[in-house]
Amino acid sequence: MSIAKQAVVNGVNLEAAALDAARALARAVGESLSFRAFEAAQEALMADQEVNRRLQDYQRRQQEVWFARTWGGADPAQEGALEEEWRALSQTPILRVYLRAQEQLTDVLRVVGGMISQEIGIDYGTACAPAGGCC
Amino acid sequence: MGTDGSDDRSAVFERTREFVAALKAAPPVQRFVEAQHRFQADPGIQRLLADVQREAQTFQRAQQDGTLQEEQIQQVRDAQARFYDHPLAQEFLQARDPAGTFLQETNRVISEILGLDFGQTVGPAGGAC
Repeated sequence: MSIAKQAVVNGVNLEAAALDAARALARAVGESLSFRAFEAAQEALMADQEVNRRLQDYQRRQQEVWFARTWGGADPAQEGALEEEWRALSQTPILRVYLRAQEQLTDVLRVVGGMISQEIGIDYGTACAPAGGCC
Repeated sequence: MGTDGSDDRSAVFERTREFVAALKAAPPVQRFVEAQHRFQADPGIQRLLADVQREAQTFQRAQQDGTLQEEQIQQVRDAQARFYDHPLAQEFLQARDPAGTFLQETNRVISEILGLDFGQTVGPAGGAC
């Protein structure tokens, strides 16, 4: 095999090795207590029809307020009611457990992301954002 | 089971270190890291970068004050042109896209296993807008 061809083969192998390491990382995250707690909390949340209905209603109203704010016409009373609804919602046991689990998982994953970004000098989250980013 | 929280976190961080090492050895990322080191270590390109930033600031201030002149616009363009013409800037920018594409590939693999968008969850710092 030529040296150039050998280099290409090595490159492909090194990329495959990195993807394998990515899978191993994903499996370690998947087996971690914080991920399993998050999954369980998510399943419990999905199964609760009443909380889901309120969440969907909250998100719909939140979008309305965002839209109104963008056009300079947000109603302070509506914004206040929305905040109040979120306070009430986030106090329901099922959502409290979910938000706490999400926060703990996010804490771990942010450390993971920080380790990756720092070593390679690219912000991993930004590099992986869909084209155009969020804003 | 049977492990406490700190133990399985350390397993996650250990796999993270292995992933980072494998990432840095993968050609698209390796080329980018090397280009970035050359870019950061070269006083010439750093000076051109500082020029662009300074000219851009002057431009912005003048725009805010309403004193912007054609000459300042031209100075920003010239500074940008000198920067982008430099081989190290070109090498850096050319290495960035393939590295980004490969990182997205790793993100896809991880996200698929976890059933959530890993890249979105890990950052960027500050979160969504």
